[in-house]
Amino acid sequence: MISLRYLLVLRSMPFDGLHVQEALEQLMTLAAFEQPSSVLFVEDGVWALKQAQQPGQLGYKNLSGLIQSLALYDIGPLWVEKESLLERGLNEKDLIVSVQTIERSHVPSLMDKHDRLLPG
Amino acid sequence: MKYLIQINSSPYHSEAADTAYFFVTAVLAKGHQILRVFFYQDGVYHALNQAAPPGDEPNKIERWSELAVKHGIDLVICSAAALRRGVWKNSESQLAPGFRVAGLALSAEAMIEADRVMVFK
Repeated sequence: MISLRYLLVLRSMPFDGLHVQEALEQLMTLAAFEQPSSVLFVEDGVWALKQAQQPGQLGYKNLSGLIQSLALYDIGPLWVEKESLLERGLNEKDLIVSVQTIERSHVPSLMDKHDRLLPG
Repeated sequence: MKYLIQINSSPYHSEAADTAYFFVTAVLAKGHQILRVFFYQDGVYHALNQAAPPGDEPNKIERWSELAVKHGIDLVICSAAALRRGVWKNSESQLAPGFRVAGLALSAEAMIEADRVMVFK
């Protein structure tokens, strides 16, 4: 089977609808087809990684478990844009998983290394 | 060239679905192939079969059904997303003409097979 490299780009607030959960579920399906994929969290998308969220009060499932389980599907690395964290007063210690930070200026070359870019 | 189109937005939420529709017609006009249109996330609302906008408005459901009939395009809504939203339960007769239901695996297959993947959200 042909193997293509996928990059899911998550750039908006996690609990504005169900887009993060559904995008990750699609990525897991691709993983079942042995398609290597990773995720880039950028802009407000980085909030999906923040610790100690309680979205149950809003009627949403907690995404932490889903994000932490991505490694089991060989999905990764999880890339996070460094400037997006800084601009929001976050650092790597605030996050639920270990990530690879990437500078904004290097994002285009990261995208170049993938065959398909998927928006969340 | 073989295109997979994915639509993540409902018909009236944004311009995404309109852009997707015009993109598909342009792709066909250029002689390319639409492998599949996969409706995911809120895109599954496209398959509701009772949309009846006033007569002086374009019908955003019907035009997909017409495209499916005219060009034999495979319109697929995601079963999990559709179940979650109550768009579909157990019978495709509940859907607008030309739409069918399938799992995410079908989108993955098309993603692998397509030359180009376009996601409209």
